[in-house]
Amino acid sequence: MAGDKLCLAIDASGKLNAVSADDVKHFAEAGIRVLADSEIGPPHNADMFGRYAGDARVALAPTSTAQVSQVLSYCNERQIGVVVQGGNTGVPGGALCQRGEVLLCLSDMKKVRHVDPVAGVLVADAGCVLADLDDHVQQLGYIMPLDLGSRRRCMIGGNVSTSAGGLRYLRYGSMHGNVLGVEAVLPDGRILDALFTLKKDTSGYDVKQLFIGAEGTLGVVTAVAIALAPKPQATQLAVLGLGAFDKIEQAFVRARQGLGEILSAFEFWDRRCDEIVVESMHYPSLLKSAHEFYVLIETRGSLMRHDAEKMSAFLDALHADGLVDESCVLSAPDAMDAAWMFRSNMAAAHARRGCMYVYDFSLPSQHKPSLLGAVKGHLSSLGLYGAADSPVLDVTIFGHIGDDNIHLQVIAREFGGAVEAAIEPWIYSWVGSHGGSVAAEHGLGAHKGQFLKYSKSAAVIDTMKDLKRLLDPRGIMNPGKHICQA
Amino acid sequence: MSSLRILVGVKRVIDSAVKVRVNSAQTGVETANVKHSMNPFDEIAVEEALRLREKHGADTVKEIVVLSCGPAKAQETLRTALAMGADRSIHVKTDDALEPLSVAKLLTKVVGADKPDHVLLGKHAIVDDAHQTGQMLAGLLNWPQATFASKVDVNGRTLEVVREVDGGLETVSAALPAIVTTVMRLIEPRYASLPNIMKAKKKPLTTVTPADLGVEIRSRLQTLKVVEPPKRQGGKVLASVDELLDKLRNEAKVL
Repeated sequence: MAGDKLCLAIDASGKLNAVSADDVKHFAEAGIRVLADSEIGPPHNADMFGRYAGDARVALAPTSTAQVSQVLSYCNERQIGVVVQGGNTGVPGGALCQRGEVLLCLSDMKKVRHVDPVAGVLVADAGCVLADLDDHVQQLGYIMPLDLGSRRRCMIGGNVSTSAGGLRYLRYGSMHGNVLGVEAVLPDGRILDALFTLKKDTSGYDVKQLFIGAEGTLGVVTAVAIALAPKPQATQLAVLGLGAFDKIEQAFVRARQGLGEILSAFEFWDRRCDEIVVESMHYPSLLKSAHEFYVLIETRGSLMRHDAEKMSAFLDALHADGLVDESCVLSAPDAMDAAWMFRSNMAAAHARRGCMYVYDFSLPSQHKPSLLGAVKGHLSSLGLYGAADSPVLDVTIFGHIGDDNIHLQVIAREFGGAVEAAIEPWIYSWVGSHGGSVAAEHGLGAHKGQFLKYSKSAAVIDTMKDLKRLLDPRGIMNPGKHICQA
Repeated sequence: MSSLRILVGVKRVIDSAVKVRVNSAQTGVETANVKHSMNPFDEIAVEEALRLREKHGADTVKEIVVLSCGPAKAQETLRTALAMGADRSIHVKTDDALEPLSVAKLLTKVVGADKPDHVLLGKHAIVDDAHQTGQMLAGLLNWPQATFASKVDVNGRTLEVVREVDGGLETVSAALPAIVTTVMRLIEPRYASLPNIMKAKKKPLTTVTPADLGVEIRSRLQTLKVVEPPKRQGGKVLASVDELLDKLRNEAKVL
């Protein structure tokens, strides 16, 4: 009513009702598939790196947008929490049930609705797996505009809801640019059809943008319209071995100038990352000698001869100016696959080594070189790192350096305790004070919302909360996570 | 018209678009991890065979067989040829280094067993630029050879070939069976479409070894060193004839 203040606390988790057997009966009678207890397991209740745990008791697998609408209407009415899950490959545990919510699995909504081969637009259900979509559009001469290590498991709805970055962000840009339209179900059950498929549309507020990166807190994304990228005719990789961090940045500037429009990926990792992948995954290192830093560059274009010429000139100049100590060019398909496997499995390799704390930061150029030293110094000064029996086994960095995005890994002997207390919130504060983002591409998930203040101002956070209250007044969507912690 | 069986030799080589680099031991070029594909002249040879069949019909050209000598990966190249339209393939499998004479000897044995009427080869492989295999094969089989062919046609049991020679174009005729080696002109090899690539997987691929053929592979050449050519220097503008003479005498040392 006008004049009443909408004063529901942003975190409604204390006020919600846990899902009950009666609710399950209702869903079943409505024709919505309820997963049997035996079907709910680690893929639903654990994140990929084992740091977070969920305990979903009731999981639903709707097959249509209409069914999703029924579920949300009911849950909104009964004030039951809902957690949406796709492939559950999110790093910070955003898709885990932790407060007695209903788990809404979209894996049965996997139809490709439409592909426009001239415009290069795909419309697909949210439960379509990224690799399957890529295979599908490749037959028409296109590729998906994003690629992640988890491509065989992650779903496009989740990619949209986490505004996934990935390995080719440098070339194809962000989900905010590639997503042309979204079909979503709002928390009260209303179906929001914003599935526009044309690239240019400046008419009113761009509502779909709210859902990109919302991590399931504003509604359920049920379908996506996405702009595709043309399938490259010529691909090649170069691997560089360098002696210092600043050489990576110099190499990147030269790559942008010399390789220009064909540059499609620029990744880096440090010496210890290389050793960990070799030890944990038994993949061979990509270069003959060991180096302080490694860079993986990919180019994609339409004429191999042109691209090979550019790469050759680029590498010759790097060697002549002493920026790289070793390099190799890979153009055979299996060699390129092996190199990407090496890079894509870096996080998994770390998780095998021990208990991995993974952080995902964007940092401005001038501060990137000091991150690793600062973390090692901080942990050493607390006696947690540096000796053979220290609680922290390794501190490493790798990532999409071309996007200013660094993943920091701290591998501990166990989760929790002094190590966790030493890193958080210290690391977020450090990143925030150095002008970075506390979550470049992984999102806020289960517990990073509380650190949002280190990189976003109070006014920005308040506006986010206003939007949350507006669309989800009862706070049923992914309660207790994300902006609810800010 | 009598019916013909055509044998086409193909070789897996470093892709022509790759910028090759000499390996650190200076014994050859880096082959690991670089893209390989069918020797471009062999693509022309396959395409020539396919066009002969398209022109004269399947009654005249009753079978196109492709052959490659080399390690396991040579099969990729054979599959490409099958996807372009060849009927079956023979892989002479060996990991040994193959010089043109060895290949010619292997081909001689295959020709003896398979009895094709016409052998098409690329004029050289872009790996070593030898230009020898076709000619050696003709010698071993005592067959006529028409090399550097830019146009091939068949009339009954006679081949009519237009050859590229220094003075221009020369037209020769040869009685079948004969060897032809192809240049790069005039025809574009076709791309294998996705359905044809799928169909190619079902076409026959027979593997034999040099031992099966009774051929001993021997290397008679030893590569001493491989280096990159010297970098091209920029040109200079000279001020006078005297300067030119001085440079020709003292720098270029040609006077």
